[in-house]
Amino acid sequence: MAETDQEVAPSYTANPNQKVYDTAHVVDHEVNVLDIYFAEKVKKYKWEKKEESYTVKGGGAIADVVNKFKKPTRRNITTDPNPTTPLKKGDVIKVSWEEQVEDGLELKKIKRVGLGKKLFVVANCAGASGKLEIEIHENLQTETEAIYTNPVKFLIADAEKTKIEFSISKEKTQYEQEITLRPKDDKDFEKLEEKFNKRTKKEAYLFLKANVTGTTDTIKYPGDVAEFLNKDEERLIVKNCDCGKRYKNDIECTRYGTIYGPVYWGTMPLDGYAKWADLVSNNTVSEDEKTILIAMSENEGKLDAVQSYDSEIITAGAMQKTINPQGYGELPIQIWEFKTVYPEKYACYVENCKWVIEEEKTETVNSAGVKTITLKYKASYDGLTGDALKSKIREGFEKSKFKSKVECKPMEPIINLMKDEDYQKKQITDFIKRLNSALAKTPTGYSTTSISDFTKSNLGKATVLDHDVNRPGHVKNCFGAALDSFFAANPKVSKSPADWGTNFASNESKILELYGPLRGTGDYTMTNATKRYNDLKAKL
Amino acid sequence: MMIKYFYTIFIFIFLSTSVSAQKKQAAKYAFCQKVDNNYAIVFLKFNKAFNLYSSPRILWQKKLIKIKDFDEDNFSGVHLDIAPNKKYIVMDNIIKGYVQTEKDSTLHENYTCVIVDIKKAKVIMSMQTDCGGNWNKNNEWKNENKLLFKEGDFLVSKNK
Repeated sequence: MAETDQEVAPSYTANPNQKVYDTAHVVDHEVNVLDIYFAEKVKKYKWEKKEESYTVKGGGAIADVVNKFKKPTRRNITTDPNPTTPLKKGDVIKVSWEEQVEDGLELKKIKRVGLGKKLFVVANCAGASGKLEIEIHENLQTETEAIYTNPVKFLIADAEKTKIEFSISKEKTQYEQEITLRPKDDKDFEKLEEKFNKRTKKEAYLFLKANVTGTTDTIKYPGDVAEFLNKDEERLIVKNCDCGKRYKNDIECTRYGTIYGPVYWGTMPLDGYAKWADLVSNNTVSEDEKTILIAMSENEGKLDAVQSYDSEIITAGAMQKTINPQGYGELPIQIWEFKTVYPEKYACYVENCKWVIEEEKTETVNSAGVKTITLKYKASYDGLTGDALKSKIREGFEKSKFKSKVECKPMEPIINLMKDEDYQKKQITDFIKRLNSALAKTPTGYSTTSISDFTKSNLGKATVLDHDVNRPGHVKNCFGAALDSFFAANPKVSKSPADWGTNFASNESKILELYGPLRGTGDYTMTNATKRYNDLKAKL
Repeated sequence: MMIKYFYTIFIFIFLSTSVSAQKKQAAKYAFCQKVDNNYAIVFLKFNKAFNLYSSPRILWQKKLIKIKDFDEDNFSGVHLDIAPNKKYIVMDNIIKGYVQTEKDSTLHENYTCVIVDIKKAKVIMSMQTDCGGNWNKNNEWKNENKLLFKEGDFLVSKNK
């Protein structure tokens, strides 16, 4: 959840997908095929006038009333009267505005689609007779091996076809047909998936071929070419979003207390990340930061580990981020942030696989009229969240299946996502942010300093990060307590570490010797604090 | 003289009973922290191996109220962050226990914390990284200048 005092612009406008295409006119003795393209159906919107009477409950200004009515789906809010003086309890204000409302569906051109998904083939064609036949073909672009046998097989309803046929009529100029981009037979589909998976990008590029038959009229195509979308950047990109099906035999039924649930232990430790060198060379991560994270990696989860056996709905990745029992938590936030940088990957790994992360906005206005917008991110799978989702994920995980492999469809896409190199990069950069935020904390009792003022060594930074990941609520007090002990034992040492000069390393070392074990002493409850500190010391 | 003697005996018995009752009351709970004059938070169990408490309850008018949506299998330390208005508390919600791996069992642990509405005895928010935040004087929970929780609202509050 984040805060902003700025007005949030609506994320869409009226009829956002409305497109104006060449208008087709029927000309005698001519069939004119103007355009053929791939599309999806999306909601259409229009503005409707609304008004409401509002009775003032307890003073305030007219701006407060306007704020009360503001929504991203509203515009042009006016009030009658519109006084500049403060309002009184019982005043009646007529508020008028325009509200954005749904207005049916419309076709929107698409450039990308997932393998096996439904889409529309749309033709703009002016004529009075004949039949318009359309085939889908693959263009190899720079690839050497074809995925499809041209023409491409697809489904209309449940019937496998290689051709779409429209009877041309002077009554209409736009024709549409919904198809499913897959062959009928499941084995053929699996073979297709295998071919996609052999390509680095797991993509194929499709265009359309038209043919008009059964007419004596003159047939016209744009530029006299009966191919559509067969130029670079125009072709339909089909991506194989397999939703992690290949992990279906890798998810184990484990037991945590009395709970049986799914776990994928993972295969990728932090220190095994494939692109460390790239992250360092492009200054995303410094050498020291890399050293600190790798030293800590033994204590952390694997980058691709996913489980659902404890109180949370799902826990994933090296930092064990969770979808909490209410459907919120840091994993939905991380996935949302990933979406903002890699929207196509989000569409492929998440949305295409029945998972959705929704942004929820809450507006508050204080007595001074300052608006605050707070954001929360909620995860759902196939429309389920909270307890219902937790039950769905754990379906079939029971005593009789203990230690055996059990299929868990909701978890497969999350494993797939965690395996993605860019998502792993996101995990690592989040870890670095966590390191910096931990070091920026103010030790209790030392209000003019931050922890980073006392810790310059990799060991010191790693020890603080190790604590912050495991007990973030304890870091400030515990580090402050370690400083108290240090200064009590060394009363002549300046409280300002800037004055330590050549004694800095020695003083820091003494503080760490106190702080490392203290993290797990008394009210500070970090597990195995001394051992973890000693392990870090041995590595750094 | 006799009356004075019986009176002394009575006071002694009364005080002994009262002190004993208080001890019993305190002994009933593994940990108890007063929030204000009406409410306290108590833990019914203590796990010595983990040095953590579990089964938190709100104590109100001698009644123990279970905290809705706090998992009874999870743990908390004694560090409780009470909001200035005493209506909310941030407490650990530590997931800790043994999970079976392919060959044996291993200790699984993940740190989260929750904001509890004391009067409603209910978890209203769950956090991980932001557990390291603070209450400000406006009863808002903030971490790194990020507003994470604020109580109610003045004029408008709506979910979209």
